[in-house]
Amino acid sequence: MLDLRAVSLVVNGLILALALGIMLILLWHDRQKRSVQFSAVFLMLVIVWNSGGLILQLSQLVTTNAGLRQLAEGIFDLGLAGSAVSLYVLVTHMSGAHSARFRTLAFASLSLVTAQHVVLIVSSSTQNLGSLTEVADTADVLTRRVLSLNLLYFTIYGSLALFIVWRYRRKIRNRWAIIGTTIFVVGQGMTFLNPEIALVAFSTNVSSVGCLCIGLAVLRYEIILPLAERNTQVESLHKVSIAISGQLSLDTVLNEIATQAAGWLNADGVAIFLRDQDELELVTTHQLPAEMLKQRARWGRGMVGQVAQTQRSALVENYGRDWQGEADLPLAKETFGAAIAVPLNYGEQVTGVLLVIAGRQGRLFNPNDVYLLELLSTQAAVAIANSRYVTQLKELDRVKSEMVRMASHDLKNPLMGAMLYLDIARDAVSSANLTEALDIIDQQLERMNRIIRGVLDLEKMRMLSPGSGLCDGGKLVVRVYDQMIRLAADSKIRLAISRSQDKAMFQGDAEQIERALVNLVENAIKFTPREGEVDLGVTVADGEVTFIVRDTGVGIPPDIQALVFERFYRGQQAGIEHVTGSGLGLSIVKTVVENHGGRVWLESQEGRGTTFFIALKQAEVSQGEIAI
Amino acid sequence: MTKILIVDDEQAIRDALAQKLRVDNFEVVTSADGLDGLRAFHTLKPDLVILDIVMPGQLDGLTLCRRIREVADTPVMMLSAQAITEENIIEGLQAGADEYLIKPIRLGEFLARIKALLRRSQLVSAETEQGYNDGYLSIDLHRRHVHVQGRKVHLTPTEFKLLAVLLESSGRVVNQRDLLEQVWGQEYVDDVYYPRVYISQLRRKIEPDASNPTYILTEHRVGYRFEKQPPSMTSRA
Repeated sequence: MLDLRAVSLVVNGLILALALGIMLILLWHDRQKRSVQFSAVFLMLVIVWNSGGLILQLSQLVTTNAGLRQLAEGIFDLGLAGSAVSLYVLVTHMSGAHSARFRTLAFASLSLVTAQHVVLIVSSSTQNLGSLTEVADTADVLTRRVLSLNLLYFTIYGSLALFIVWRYRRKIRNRWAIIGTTIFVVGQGMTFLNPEIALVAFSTNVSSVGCLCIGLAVLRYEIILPLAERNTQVESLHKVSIAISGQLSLDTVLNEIATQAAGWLNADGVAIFLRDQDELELVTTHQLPAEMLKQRARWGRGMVGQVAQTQRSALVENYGRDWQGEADLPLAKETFGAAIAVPLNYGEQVTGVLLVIAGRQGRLFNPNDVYLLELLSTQAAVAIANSRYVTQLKELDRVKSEMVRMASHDLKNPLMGAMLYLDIARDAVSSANLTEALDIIDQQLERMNRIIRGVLDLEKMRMLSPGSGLCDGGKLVVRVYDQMIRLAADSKIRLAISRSQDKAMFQGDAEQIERALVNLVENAIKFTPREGEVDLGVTVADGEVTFIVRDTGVGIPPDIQALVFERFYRGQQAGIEHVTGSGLGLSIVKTVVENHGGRVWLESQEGRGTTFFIALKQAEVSQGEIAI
Repeated sequence: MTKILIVDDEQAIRDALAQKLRVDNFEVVTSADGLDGLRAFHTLKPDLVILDIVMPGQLDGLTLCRRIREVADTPVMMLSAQAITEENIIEGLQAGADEYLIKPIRLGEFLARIKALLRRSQLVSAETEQGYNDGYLSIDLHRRHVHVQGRKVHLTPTEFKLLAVLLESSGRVVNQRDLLEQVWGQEYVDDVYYPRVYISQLRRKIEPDASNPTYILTEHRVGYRFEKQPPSMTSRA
């Protein structure tokens, strides 16, 4: 008997040490959490109960001091009743079956039980303090105790705890908590079967195992699972980011977010509302009836509306019971269990609300889930804002194109009218002075015409796709040379051409690249004094086809080199006053090259000349393909 | 005297063009909108029509051109301030225009183009009395008649000129440049999309299957060739 007791003592001691360790870890992890607080109280009371049993057994083994035994019994009773009550409190909290003032009530009843037992211990200790009277029959003492209030506490709270874990087993979602509770209650019950100290020892052993299971369950739920889920969460966030950065449609991104949210939280339904002036419209659902789409929630009303208004997340454990406001969706109060609503904030603005719900029999959510959803909601808000900006930009671009067309149309007609009458006037005028004046008007009108054409060309190049034809850079420079040779000759510029030995093939629209090269050569001729040289060449190196237009012209000062590709930029330096143009030629070059995924840059020395480069990706040429 | 109808909502342009054309001995009628232009076309039967594309009212230039093409082969020149892309020009040509000019245009070039267009439509009538008939397709160059399976087909002057040039060189490839020069004139050699549009329209009108042409064949990147068919073609009917 003695050996068994010793073994039981050691086992109990070890298990309790473990439970104490768990309690400390939980408290260290997050002592603000209710589940942690409740489980800590529970574990502490179990330790109290077991310590009582331990002292009781020790007192029987080593001493016969009645005072010590009574103190041990008092502690034992306190632990027994307290742990029964606190277990009930813990499982009720875990299942979410509690009411709003549950915490206060739980602490009040625990305090009451504790106070009552402390009073009992103190009063009995005072009576027996210093007394060395032997207690002849330990069984008698225990019987007296057992018949006291403890049985009442155990019967009420133990069976309630068992009932709750069974009734809300889906919500608790934690098998070890259910098993632990059952073992613990059975273990406590054994105390009352036969009031022998040996059985008391055994029952505390059994209950300690149950308590350890519960402790582990809480540890797993609070610390291990969130850590294990972190991986999945990172992966989900990654997926959402990809959906967003992939510039997929808003619908696709929102669907992805809804799916990930449901997966993360093991939720039964997800709804995403988007702000539409002073209302919120349901635009995406996951595992909710499709008829709910387009439902509107009023600003400030319902959970969704309030979350949008206050810009703060909300969590309810039981929508039907805890949410007092307007229902967000039809039958919400009847069918929703736990629910979290998170605002989709972008800057200071609420762009929508993410609502995640569990069914009545579904799981419970906790503040950690809210935190996770807030992570997702940030992504969703970015996606929504992106999509809105893209839509706005597209609309602006469309309006701009429309404006350009309209303006060009409206400008071209009066311009043509003026030009026609100028031509008529020229036929009728013979005075040299007037002819000179008409020439100036003519030049100005032509200049206007060039600007309008430049704007339209730029618009046209922007609208064109780069094309996917196979182009031969060598042929292209010859074509450009053919086009420009007359202008060069008229300007007394020597235009030369050089081509690489390799085939300079690239993918794109030959006509657009030709246009870009013509612009560069035209520019080079314009900015090169008479008797100067302009070289047009193409080389192939490092997988790139590079066109080079080099002149011996006036050069571009370093401070304006970065500006020359900007629209309407025209150089002001000395020596180019005579040069006319729209100021759009180089920005057309830039647009075309960028459309083709290429690079354009320049190198220049004032007074010595400028070299422009256009580099495009070299294309692999398969047999049978014809280049243009 | 050659009668020219100008339809343009811009009074300055209308008046300046009319003034210049009158000096060059053309009879000119002007209209300020599409509906008025169509009315003038029906009552005055001009020899050439100049159309602006964007005009107020229900009838824009493109629609007006199509309405004219339903009933007549009169040469049509389009003037547009709006064209940005080649597609805009092709759209105009497909509506039946023989010429598509982008505003602003100077008087000198305008007059040259008008004369080239008139030359194109009149030259055809002076062609040799050559013709072609295989039973399915018959072409009478002198009377400017084309019949497909005995049914008369309306060709615009440019389309007819194009067909005549190809027929004269039947069996041989006519390259793009020559085609442009012969059909449209010296000043058109860079307008490479003209032949493409007109060839496809011609094919729609005369080929049994426009997507698998047998008469007008494309020589890739060179030009086009008219291929005479054996008289047994009648069996296809």
